[in-house]
Amino acid sequence: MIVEPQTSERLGRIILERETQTRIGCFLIGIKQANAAVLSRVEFQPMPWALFSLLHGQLCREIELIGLLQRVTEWSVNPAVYARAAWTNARNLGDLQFIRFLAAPFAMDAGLYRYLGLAHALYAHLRFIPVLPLDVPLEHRFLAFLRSLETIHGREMQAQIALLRKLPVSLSSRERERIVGEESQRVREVFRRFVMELTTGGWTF
Amino acid sequence: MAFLNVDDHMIRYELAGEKNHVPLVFVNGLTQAAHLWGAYVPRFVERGYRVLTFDMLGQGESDKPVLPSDFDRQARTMAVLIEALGLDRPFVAGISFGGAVALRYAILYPEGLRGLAAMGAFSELDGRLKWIGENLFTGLAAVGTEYLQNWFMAFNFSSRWLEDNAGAIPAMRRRGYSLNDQYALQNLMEAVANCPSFSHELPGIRVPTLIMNGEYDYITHRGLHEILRAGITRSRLVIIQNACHAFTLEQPDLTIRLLDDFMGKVLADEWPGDQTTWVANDDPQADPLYLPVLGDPLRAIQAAPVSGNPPAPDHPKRKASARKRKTTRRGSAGEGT
Repeated sequence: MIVEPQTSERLGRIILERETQTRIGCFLIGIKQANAAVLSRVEFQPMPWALFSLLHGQLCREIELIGLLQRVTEWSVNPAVYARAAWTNARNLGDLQFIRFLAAPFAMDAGLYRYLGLAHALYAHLRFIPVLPLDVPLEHRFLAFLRSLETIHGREMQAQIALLRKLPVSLSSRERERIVGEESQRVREVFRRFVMELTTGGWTF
Repeated sequence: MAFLNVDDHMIRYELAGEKNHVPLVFVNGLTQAAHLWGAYVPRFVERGYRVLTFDMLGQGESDKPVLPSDFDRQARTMAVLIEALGLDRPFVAGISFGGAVALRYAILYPEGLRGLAAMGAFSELDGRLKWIGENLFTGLAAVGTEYLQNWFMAFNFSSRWLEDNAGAIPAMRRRGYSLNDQYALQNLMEAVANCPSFSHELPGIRVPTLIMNGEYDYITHRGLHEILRAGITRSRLVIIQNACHAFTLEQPDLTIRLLDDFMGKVLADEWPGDQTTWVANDDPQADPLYLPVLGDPLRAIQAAPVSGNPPAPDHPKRKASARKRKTTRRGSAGEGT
C-alpha cells in the first residue's frame, strides 16, 4: 500500500463528502484534460496508422471519461475547495511535465516513448480503490465509477503495454526500463501526495 | 514488513523465527501475496523453523516493473533475497506459479536448498494449461483484474469451501484486487507463457522433493504432477483429497502437517523419495498420513473391465432385455391362467 493505514482510514471516512469528491473529480479531470491536450495533437500530424488509431481511441475515451466524471461527482459549492483544487492541479501538471509533449510534433523517438511511459503510469497508478479501507462499500455511484475507471484504464493501457515493448525506437531494454520507471515514479508520487493532501487537510509539499 | 533492494527493485519480505533455526521459504501463487501464508508462519516458527515470506517482483507490495522480464528472474531474485538474509540451504515450498518458480530455483541453484515442496506446480504448459493461460490472459487484458480473480475463485476452491466462506469472500477479493496491478499480473503471466518447457531439466533436482496436487485441480492437473514425479528422482507425489487448486488456502492444517512430516523426515535423513504416489489422509489429525492409491491416479474415474460385466441399469441393451423378460413373464402368466 502506498499510504499508511491511518491515511487510508481517514480517506475512507471522508471519501463521500462533497469536498472530497470535488477534489478528486478536479484532480482526475485536470490530468485527463492535460493528457487529452497531448493526444489531440496526434490528430494533426502524420503517424503510422496502428499507432494513430490507438492514440485517437484514447483521446475519445479521455474526453468521454471527463464528461462522466463531471456527471458522477457531487460537486461542492464551497469556493475555497475549487481554489485549492486549482492550485493542486497547477502543481500536478507541472510535476507531470505534460509541457514536454506539447511543444513539438511527435517523432518516432525517445520523446514519444517517454510519453507512452507517462500515459501507462497514468492508467496504472491513479487508483483510489486500493487506498480505501476494505470495509468501505463501493455501491455509491462515485465509488462505483472510480472502480470502473480502474477497469477502463486497465483496458486502455493495453495499447501502452504493447507499444512500450515494440515501438521501433533505438532504446536498449535498460533505457526503456529506466524511462518507464521514471514516469511511473513521477505519477505515483503525484498520486501519493494528493491522497496525503486530501487526508491531512493541510498543504502538502 | 521489510524491503530489500534487488537489482534496483524493492522486494517486500517478512522473516520470522530464530536466527539459528532451519530456514523455510514460501513462494506465492500468481495473484497471491505474502500475507496468505499467515496460517503457516506461526505454526512453523513454533516447530523450530525460520520462515521467509515475500512478494515476488510484480506482486503485492514489491516493485512492479512495467516491462516484462523472464521467468528465471523470479528465481534469481529469490536467490539474492535468500543469500542477503543469510538463510543457509532453506526448504523451499511454492504453490502454482510459485511452485514453478521454486522448481526453477531448485534447477538453477541445486546447492541452494535442502528440500523442495512443489504444490499445484508445473514444468511445462501442456495443451490444456496453454489454453487456460491464453484465455486467462485475454480475459485479464480485455475485462480486468476482477475477471481473473473471479475465475480463480471457481477453480481454486471446492463448492463446500465457497459456500461456507461466502461471507468472507468479498473482503478477500477486495484485498486481492487492491494488492494486484493489472499490468504486473499480465507481465507475470507472459513470463510463464514465454518460458519454454523445462521438464527435461527436472532430473537436475537432486534434493528431496514433496509434490502435492489437489484431487480436483483442473488448472494444474494430475498429468503435470506426474511429469514432476517421474522427472525428480527423490520425489513423492501426494494427492490431497477433495481439494482443488489452492489447497494451501483451503486445507492449511493438512498441508502444514504434510510439509512438517516431509521436512522432519528430510532432516532425520529418512525421506524415502522413491517416486511413488500416495493419497493424503482426509483428516489432518489422523494416522496414517499417507494412504496407498487404488487404481490409476491419472484417471478421475476407474471403470471396470468391459468384458464379463453387466450393463448399467439404464443402458439400452439392459432396457431391451428387461422389456423382453417382462413380456416373457406376462406371456407365461397368461398361459398359466
